[in-house]
Amino acid sequence: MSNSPPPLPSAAVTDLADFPGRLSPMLVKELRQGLRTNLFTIAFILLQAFMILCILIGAADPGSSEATGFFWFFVVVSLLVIQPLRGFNALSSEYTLNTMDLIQMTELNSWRITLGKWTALNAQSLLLAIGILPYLVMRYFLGGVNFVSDLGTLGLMLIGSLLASAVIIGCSAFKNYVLRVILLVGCFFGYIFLTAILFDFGTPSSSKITLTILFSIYGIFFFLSFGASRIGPMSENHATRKRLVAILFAAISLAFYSWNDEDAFLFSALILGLSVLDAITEPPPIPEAVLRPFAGNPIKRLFAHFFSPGWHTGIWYTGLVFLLWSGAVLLLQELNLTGYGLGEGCLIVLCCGAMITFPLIIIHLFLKKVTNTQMHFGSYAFIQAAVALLTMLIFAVASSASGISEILYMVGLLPSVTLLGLNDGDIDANWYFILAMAAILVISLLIPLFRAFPLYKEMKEAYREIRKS
Amino acid sequence: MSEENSTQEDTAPEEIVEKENLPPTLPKRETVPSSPAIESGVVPAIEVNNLSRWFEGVHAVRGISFSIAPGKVVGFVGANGAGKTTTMRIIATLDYPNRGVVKVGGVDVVQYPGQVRKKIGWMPDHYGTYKHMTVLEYLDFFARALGYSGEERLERVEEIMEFTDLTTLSNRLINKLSKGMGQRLCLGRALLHDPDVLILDEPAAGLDPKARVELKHLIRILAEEGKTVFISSHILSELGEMCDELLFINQGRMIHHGSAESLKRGAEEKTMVNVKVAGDPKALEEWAEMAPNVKWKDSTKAGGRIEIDSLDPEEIALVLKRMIKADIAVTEFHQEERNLEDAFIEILGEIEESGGSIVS
Repeated sequence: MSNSPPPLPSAAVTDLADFPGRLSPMLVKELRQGLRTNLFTIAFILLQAFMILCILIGAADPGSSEATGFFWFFVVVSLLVIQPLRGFNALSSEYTLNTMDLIQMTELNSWRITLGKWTALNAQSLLLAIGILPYLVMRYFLGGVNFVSDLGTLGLMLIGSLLASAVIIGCSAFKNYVLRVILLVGCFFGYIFLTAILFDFGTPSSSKITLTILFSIYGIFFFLSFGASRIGPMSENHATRKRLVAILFAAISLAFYSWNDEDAFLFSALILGLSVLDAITEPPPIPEAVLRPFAGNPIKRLFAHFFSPGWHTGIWYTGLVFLLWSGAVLLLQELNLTGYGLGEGCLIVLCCGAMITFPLIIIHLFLKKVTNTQMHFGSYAFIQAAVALLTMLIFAVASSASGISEILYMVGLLPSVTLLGLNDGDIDANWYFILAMAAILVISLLIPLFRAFPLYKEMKEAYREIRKS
Repeated sequence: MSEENSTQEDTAPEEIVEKENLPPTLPKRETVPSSPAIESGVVPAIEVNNLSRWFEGVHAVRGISFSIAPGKVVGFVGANGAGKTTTMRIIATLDYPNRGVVKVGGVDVVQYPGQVRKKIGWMPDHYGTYKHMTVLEYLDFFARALGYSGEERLERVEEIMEFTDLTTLSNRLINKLSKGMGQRLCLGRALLHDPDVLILDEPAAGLDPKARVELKHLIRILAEEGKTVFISSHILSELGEMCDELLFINQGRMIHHGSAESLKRGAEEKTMVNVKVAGDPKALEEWAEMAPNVKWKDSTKAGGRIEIDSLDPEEIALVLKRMIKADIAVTEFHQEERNLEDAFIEILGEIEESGGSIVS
C-alpha cells in the first residue's frame, strides 16, 4: 500500500471553495445563480442610487416628510415587491429548464429544494437590507428621525419579505402562469383584508402582534410545504406534517381567547382553512410507497385515513378539523368569550366551512377528470376566483337596489354572500341560512367521499401488499 | 464473465491498441459499493414485468416485459410515441406504472424509489442546464446534492471532468457549450455517484458526427467497466455497433428482444451472398441453379446474388469450395447483412400482418 498523500485537486476545482460544503446544495446553487443575475445587480445599484437621492433631499430639508416617504417607498418596493417577485418562476423554472427530474434523482427531496430557493432569495434580500443600513445611520445624523424605530420598521419589512417570498415561491410550483397570477392576486387581497380587520388602521395590541407573527410563521411553513408537495414525486409524503402542524398552530391561536382576543377565532380559521383547501385538492399518491409507515397496526391505519396524502384523505381531515374547530369555537362561545350569539356563531362556522368545500360539488360532479391531477387545485382556485367576483357583483347590484335583504335571500345560498351579508347586517342568523349552509357543507363533503371509494379500496389493497412483502 | 468485463490479457491486439487511445477510466466511488447481487450476476440489472402505463385514456405502454442482465449494453428502439421515454422514466423512478412491476438490481422502483435512485444514472433526452452556471458549478451542485462533501466532492468533480474531457471548459457558462459538450456534461452528471445502471434517453439526438463518435466512445468505456447501459436512439446502425441486445417497441408493445446479429440475420435460416466473378457471370447463374441448397436470386454487374439455405459458416464455406471446384473464377464472395433499419421495418410489417407482437 502506498503511503503517498492523495493528489491535490486541480486549480479549477479549488474555485469551488466559494461556499462551505455544509451549506444546502440548493442554497449554494441559487446564490451562485442569483447573485449573477442582472435583476439583482440592477435592483442593488438602483436602490443605492435612490438612497443617495433621498439623503440629498433630506440634507437640503432635514426632517422633510417627502424625503422620508421616498426613502421608505424604495425600501418597500425593493424588499416587499421586487425581491419576492423574483421567486415567481422559482419552482416552475426547474420544469421549463428540464432540471426538476435531474434534481429529484439526487438526495434532495422537494422540501429541501423549496426551502433552498426561499433561503437563497431571502439571503439576497438581507444583502439589500444591509446595503440600506448606512443610509439609516445617515438619516439619523441629518436629524428628524428615530433610528431605533427605523431599524424596527426595516426588520418588520424583512419579516414581510420572508412571508411574501414564501407565498410566491409556493405558488410558483404551478406551471400555469394564469393560475399563479390568480393565486398571488388572491393572496394580496387576503393580506389587505386581514390587515384591515386586524389592525383596524390603528395601533395593534401585543396579542395581535403575537398572533400576526404566529400566523406569519405558519404562512411561511404552509406555502413552502405547499410548493414542495406540488413539485414532489408521488412517493413523498408532506401531508402528514402539513396537517398536524396546521392543527397545532390553530390550537395555539385559539388559546389566545384567554387574552379575550376575538381575532384568535379568525386566525385559527385562516390556518385551518389554508390547510383544508390544500388537503382537499391534493393528487392521490402512490399508495404503497406512502402508506408503508402506516401499515403497522389499526391505529396507524386509522391515522392514515386522516393524515396521509391525497384529497381522499383530505375529505376526512376536513371533517375532523371542522368538528374540532367548531366544537372549540362553540365551547368558547358558551364561555362567552367570542362576543357572538349562538345562532350567529353557528352560521359563521358553517359559512366558513361551506365556503372552502363548496367548489368540490362542481369539481366532483362536472370536472371528475381533474381530481387525480395537479389541475385539481387549479380548478378549485378558478372556481373560488369566479365565486369571489360573483360575490362582489351581487353586493354591488344589491347595494344599488332597494330591498337588499330580499336579493340576498335569493342568492344567499353562496356561502361567501351569506357570510358577507351577515357581517354587514343585511342577513339575520336564522334557520333558513343555518340549514342551507349545513346542507351545502354536508353535500360538498359527501359527493367527494362517495367518489373516493376506489381510492379507499386501493389503500386497503396497498396495506395487504405491504403486509405480504 | 461477460465480454464487456474481460481483461486486457484476453483482448484482441487491435482492441488493445484502440484502448490505449481512450480517455482514463472512471474511478469507482468507494463509499457506495456496487450491489453484490449485480456483480454476482444473480439479479437482473433491470427487470420489467407486465408494465402498463396510461394517461387520460392513452395507452403509452401495454404490458411489456423484459429483463437485462448486469453489464449488458441494451438498445431501446421505437418510433416517436412508441413508449420508450415512458418506460425509461418509470425505470428511473420519475413516473409510476399503472400496472406491473419494475425492479432495478432487484429493488422495486415504486416501493423503494430512494434506493433505486442510488443505483441508476439518468440522462434525459432534453438535458437540463442553468443559464448562469459554469460547468464546474453545475457538477459541484449535483455532487453536493448527491451527498458528497469536502475533498471527496472536489476529487469526484475533477474525475468526472477528466473523464468527459471538460477540464479545459470548467469555467465556461453552460449556455455557451455546444450540444456535444452539453451531452458530455450531462453524462458526467449521471455518472457522479458511480451508478451500476445507466439509462440514456436519446443521448445522440442532435449531435454532430464528431460528438457522436465521442459519446459512443464514452459509452463503450462504461460498458467495459461493467456498467449496465440501457440506451434509446433513433440511429439504429449506431445502436447495432454498441449494443449486446436490442429491444424494439411499437405502440407500447414489445416486438423484438434479441441481439443485433440475430436481427440482422432475420428469422429465416438463410444467408444471402454477393458473388463477383472474372469473365462471364452466366456460368455462375447456371451453376447456382444446379447446386444443392443454393438459390439464384439476381444478377449484378460482374456476378450475382445467391441464397444459401443455411446460417452455418462451414456450409457457406463449402458452397465457395464447390464453386471454385466448378471452375468459376470467383473474385469476391461477400456475405450480405440486412441493416437494422430494414430489419426493424420488416418486423413492423410482420406485426401488421399477424396483428400481434413477436418477441424473439
